[in-house]
Amino acid sequence: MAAKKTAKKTTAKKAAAKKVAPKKAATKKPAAKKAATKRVDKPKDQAERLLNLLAVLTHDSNYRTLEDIHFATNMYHDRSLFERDKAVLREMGIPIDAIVLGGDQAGVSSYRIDRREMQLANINFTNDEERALQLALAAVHVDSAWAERARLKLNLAEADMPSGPQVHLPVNSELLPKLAAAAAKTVRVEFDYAGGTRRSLNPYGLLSRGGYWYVVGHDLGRKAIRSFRIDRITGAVKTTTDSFERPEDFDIEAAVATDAEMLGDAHGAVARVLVSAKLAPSVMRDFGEDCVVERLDDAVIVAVPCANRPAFRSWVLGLVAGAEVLSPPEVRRDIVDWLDSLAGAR
Amino acid sequence: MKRRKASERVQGLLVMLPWLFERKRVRIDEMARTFGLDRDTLVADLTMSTFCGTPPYSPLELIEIYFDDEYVWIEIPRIFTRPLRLTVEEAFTLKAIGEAALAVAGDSTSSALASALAKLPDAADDAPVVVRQPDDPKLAGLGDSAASHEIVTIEYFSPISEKSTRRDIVPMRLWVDGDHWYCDSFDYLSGERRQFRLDRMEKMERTGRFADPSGLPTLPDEPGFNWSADADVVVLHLKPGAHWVAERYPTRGTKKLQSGVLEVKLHVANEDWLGRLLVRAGRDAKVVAPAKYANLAATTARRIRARYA
Repeated sequence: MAAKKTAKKTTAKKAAAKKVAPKKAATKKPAAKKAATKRVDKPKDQAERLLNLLAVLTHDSNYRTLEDIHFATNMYHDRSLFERDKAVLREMGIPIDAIVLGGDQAGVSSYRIDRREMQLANINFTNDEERALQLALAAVHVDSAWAERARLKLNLAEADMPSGPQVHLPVNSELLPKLAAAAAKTVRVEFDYAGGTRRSLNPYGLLSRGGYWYVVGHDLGRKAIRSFRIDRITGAVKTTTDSFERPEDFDIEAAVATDAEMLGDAHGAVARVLVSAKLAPSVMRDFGEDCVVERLDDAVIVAVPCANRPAFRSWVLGLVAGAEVLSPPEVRRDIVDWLDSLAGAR
Repeated sequence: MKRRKASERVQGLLVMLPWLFERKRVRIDEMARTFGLDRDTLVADLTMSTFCGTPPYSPLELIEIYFDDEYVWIEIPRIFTRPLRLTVEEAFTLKAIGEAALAVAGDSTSSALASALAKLPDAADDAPVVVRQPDDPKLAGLGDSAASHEIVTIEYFSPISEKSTRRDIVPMRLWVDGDHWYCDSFDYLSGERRQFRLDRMEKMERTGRFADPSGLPTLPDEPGFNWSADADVVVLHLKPGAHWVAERYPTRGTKKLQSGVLEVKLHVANEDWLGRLLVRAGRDAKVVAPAKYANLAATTARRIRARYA
């Protein structure tokens, strides 16, 4: 890439180069154009202003007052315009340091941006590491622009379509990075959860399983480990400054009940279900081989937790006509009633 | 040109400028494609940046970008030569992608990936981000067959018809979504591209015969459920008790109606699939359109009810 024929480049530049600068008045002579770009008086465009403000504040390590900034850029006759631009830069995650001066400028705010804080640190990947990251980025599809942005910032080329397995893993909720950041900083969060309850949580970590993301931690209201589906959090997550310590032996996977575990509860009501032989393997995958209590010619009888009635019903009806609840009678009755009410419905 | 927020344009430029400095000279079209902008927008944004510089704003301090009809180039790096640090969203996305990829990568790439991830900023934070994926013993074999276009024979089970079919397929791409692994394949039985769930392949035998890759259908860039153009879309009204339907399945759009009723549009894989869904959702779900599915919940319920006679 770097190797370029100088002669060719120069020719091209003389012939066709346009330093595109001043509006429509662009002339074709590069020299003329350079002169024109000197004009930086009051750019109207906010993006242009933001870029110039950034350039000034990162220019060196000196702090600058609004007066200094205006003197240099001629952009801020109006203080409110500056305040607005500063807020936008901060919203973009750009760290603007502010100090209040003393002495003969007492009370005046002064600003700078530490370039090292703003910029991506140099990362030296080996060739293998770079390749592995490229492949990972090509193989995992996240439904948001964040991955692509990160790839470009890291200056990684786009890998060809991978030949290996691919993953669809939606990472498109702003709550995810926010909760992850709180978990990393070990600070408490608050949010409203499905059903309208306000939760106060020490977030221990995040888990993606079965197509859903969960935040798991210590629920201060319930005084117990709880997991929350991110897509059921309503509204914003509030990050507090109250810190906590994550237990060292915390096992996030064990803390989130699987679908099969959701059917039961501590008291352990169990239903016996006749399942056709064809469906038996998938049932055994969900509940383990041990769930089979009897093997018949073309079917098996399995024992499955049923304390969570709606979850049990949804599971058994998912097997359609391939399953029949044998006992207990009230659970069988519940299924029959459910079916009757539907069969009569128009 | 689409109207964009100033912060969006600036953030874009702060990624584009270092990228361009790194390459010095690129085709305008390639750069536009890379950043998902149309050519005019790209040129307008880059041009805008040439008004930008540092005091005292002599030409020596301004960003210099040149264009000809085909290329854009930049000569002397001045400001904004390094990309911005990763945002929390970007850093988290990389971490999640890394976790997901580690779970499916081969041993040789996973160690390189792990060490690459360890070099990312904030890699040291130890709060767990765990991406759990289902496992399937057929993955490795199907992966090998996909790489070599080997024909495999499967027995594929449909839980709805409760029947298995034996078919020859050429596995083309394996992908995981939520709880299940899928295999995009060419299916000789139907003569078209089909998707099979790995946990429903009751048998899988490699044949040692190979398909001519030029005869295989092309796959879309990204894996996903392929709905044929004539697939039905059903409109459902869901009371809160059945809102899980909208969370569980990819929808073509949802709308909140009065009194907590959700209107969703869903692709219908086939009638049996919809019948199964409706019987699980019960009376909290109602088919609004098309009319041919209005009685589907009832007929499916009667079919199951027959077992309880």
